[in-house]
Amino acid sequence: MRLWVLIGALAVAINASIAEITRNKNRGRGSMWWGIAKAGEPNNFLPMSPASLHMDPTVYATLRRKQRRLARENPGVLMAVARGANQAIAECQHQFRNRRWNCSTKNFLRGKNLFGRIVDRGCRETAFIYAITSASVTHSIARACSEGSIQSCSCDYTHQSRAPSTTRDWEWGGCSDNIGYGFKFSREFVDTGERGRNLREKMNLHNNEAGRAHVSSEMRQECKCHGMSGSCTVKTCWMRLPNFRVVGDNLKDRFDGASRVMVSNSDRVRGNGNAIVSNSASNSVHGHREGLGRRHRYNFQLKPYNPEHKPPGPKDLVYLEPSPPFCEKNPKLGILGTHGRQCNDTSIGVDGCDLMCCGRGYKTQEVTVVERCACTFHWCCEVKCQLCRIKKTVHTCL
Amino acid sequence: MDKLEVPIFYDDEPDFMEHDYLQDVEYEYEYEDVEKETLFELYQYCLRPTIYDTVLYLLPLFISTIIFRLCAYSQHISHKTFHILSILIGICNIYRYVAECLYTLLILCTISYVTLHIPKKYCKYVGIFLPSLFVITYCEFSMPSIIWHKVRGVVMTVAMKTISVGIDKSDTNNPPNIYAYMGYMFCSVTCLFGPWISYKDYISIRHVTNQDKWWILHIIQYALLSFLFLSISNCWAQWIINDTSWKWLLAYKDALSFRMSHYFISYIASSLLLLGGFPFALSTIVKPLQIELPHSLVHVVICWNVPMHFWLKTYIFRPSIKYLGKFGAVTMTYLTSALLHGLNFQLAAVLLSLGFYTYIEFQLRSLLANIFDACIASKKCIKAKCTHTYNTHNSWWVFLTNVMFSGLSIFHLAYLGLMFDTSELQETGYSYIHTIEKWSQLGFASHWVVFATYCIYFLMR
Repeated sequence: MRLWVLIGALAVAINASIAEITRNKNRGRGSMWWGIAKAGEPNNFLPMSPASLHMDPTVYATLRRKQRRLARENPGVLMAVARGANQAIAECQHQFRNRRWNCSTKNFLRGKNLFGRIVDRGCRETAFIYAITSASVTHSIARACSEGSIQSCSCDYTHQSRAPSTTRDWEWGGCSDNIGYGFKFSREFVDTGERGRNLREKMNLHNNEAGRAHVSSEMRQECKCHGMSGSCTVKTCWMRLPNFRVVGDNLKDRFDGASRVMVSNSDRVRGNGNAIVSNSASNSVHGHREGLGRRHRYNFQLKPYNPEHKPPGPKDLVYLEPSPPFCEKNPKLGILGTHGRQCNDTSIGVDGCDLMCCGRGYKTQEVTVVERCACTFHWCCEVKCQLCRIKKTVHTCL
Repeated sequence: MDKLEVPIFYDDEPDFMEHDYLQDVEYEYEYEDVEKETLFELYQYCLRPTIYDTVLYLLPLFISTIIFRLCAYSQHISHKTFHILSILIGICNIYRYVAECLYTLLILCTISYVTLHIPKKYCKYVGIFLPSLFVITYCEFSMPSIIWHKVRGVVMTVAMKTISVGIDKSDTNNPPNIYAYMGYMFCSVTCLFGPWISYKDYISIRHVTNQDKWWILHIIQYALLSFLFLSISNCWAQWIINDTSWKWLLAYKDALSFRMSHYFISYIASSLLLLGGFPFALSTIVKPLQIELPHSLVHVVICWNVPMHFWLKTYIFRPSIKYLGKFGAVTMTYLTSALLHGLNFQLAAVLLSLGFYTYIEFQLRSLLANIFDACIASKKCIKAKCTHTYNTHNSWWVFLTNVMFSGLSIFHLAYLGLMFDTSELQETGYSYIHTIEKWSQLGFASHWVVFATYCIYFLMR
């Protein structure tokens, strides 16, 4: 009897250590799926069939085993994830176009991280990257779901009352579950590999959750009253998936007010950020095994670094260490530096030449640019433009 | 706990330094900003749920109206039974949709029926209005604002019915029997969305069947159009005019959305009228084209709600013109209208503004029409009997002037309608502050324009 227990314990220990080894080997692979953005033709996914995306070894190399399984079991999601990843990059670059760090991505190479080694640091920028990619996958999956391009996500047309509190509350007749599916899928797919064992993984998990929370909270119900002379006899409602730009803007705001954290042991129950998921019981992501342990993964409370600050909420971004300076080239961190970046000589913000060039000064050039101009509308329906050469003054950092 | 100072590096990129990716950074991905919802999203998130919900919501009403029609056209049941059935169906509908005001309506009908039997010498003209005004005032102050805002239209229709019966009776001195009276009040076809129909119309549904054989096509046409208007109001208007547009365009959008919502309700009411067995002549409630491309504001007011206009003209304007004169009668009419709509500042402000606007526009345009001897008055010339020398067919400037006045009306309508937006207040009724705020955002432009118009009129007079 004792022997059996001993053997059992040994087996567990060996298993655990093997798992530890593979985990170490695969560390960081959780975010490698970002590379999917650069697989195939980035702007033109239509001619590419889902099958070819499946077979593409470059795509497969970026995915963990679990992610591959998810992709295999839910046909169609890979395209949506790829679209989401591209959307995230575009949004990130848009939000950071005027900052020293401009969310540059490097050419995708096997085994490399798309955003470079900046993600090795637990700084604000990394927090933003995690949040925006997770949000984007949620958004893109939800949209694909509503378009019907994911087979395992069927529209649930049995309308469920979302808020049973008021008397005759409105019941939505539309496809009610897409955002819930997107949310769940994003948790399964994006959070793979982030087990929340160390502080950095907790940070990633928190930021991923924050990104998703922003999408689902922006999903809003709009209503309108109808009735004789402006009364409210009939009320009709509809849903609006948020414009991803709005999500990006909100996340950028959170980036500016991100909180630096350390971990605490107290568990917590997350608030209403993911209430939408608990409501949607009908759709389930295939290959999704939700045990108690997985639930547990999201129950942690991060403590603010400065004890006087408030603990971060579910929609706040968190980071662990201050950002490195982005002024000079730093290959170790994959920072390009601001040499050669364009700046705005009249602005006093971060895009102004003083801050952008880190005091190194800038050079001013006159550049001729060819632009479309004098556009006229021709009946019907065509807009014809002329090409004009315009002289522009461009300031670039030294 | 992990140490904070040591950053956690991922250790699978040992060959990082060898790659010279830093040299050839390209920004190869130029993504276009997809600012607009796609058509599919519009369908998915707005059109489909809107239509689906509304159809489901209105289905019982349509079914009950069909039952009403069968009762009305059946020769086997007596008049009395028909009226009782009509009351029952009506009460069911009210209970289903606006249960909150059921008792209020019962009380209002009972009181007003009792007042019908008070001899004329004790109860003059004003006495007929008192029960309705009393009930409306009472509701305004005692009901929670959300509920009052919901049932306002229903109470208003019944109030109009009681007043019209009262005045008709004071002329003929022949009070209707209780069953017919209550059947008229609770008539399931008109109790919810209106419109007001006269007592005579209600009674005559039993006697004459004057629907042509295409009635079912007309119903379908009305229903389809009403859902088109609903979809414009909810979805298309927001989709076409972006939230970041020019403020006057936004004002136009809100006003457009409000007008479309009104057309939706009116067309639903029209199709219900036809389905309930009422004659085709009654079924015109609103004329959308005349309002969207208005000849003048007077036309808008007439076409906005034809039965209501008829009611106001017959029971308020004509009787009061004897005592109060023209301006007084106009003010009285709009005041009554505002009172019937509930004592809501926003509606009162809009209606009274409309009253002054139409009065000034009417005066100025008839003056101009006389001076230039042209068809530019507020009322359209009847083609055959145009007394003016110049009309739109023989001179371009008449046409141009009319178009200008149309543009002015559209401008005024955008200004007056913009506050019926989809803000939080739409369920409780819009407040005084909301109205003033919305108007001040536009600098009270329309009021200034009207003031200027009045000055021109005053100087020319």
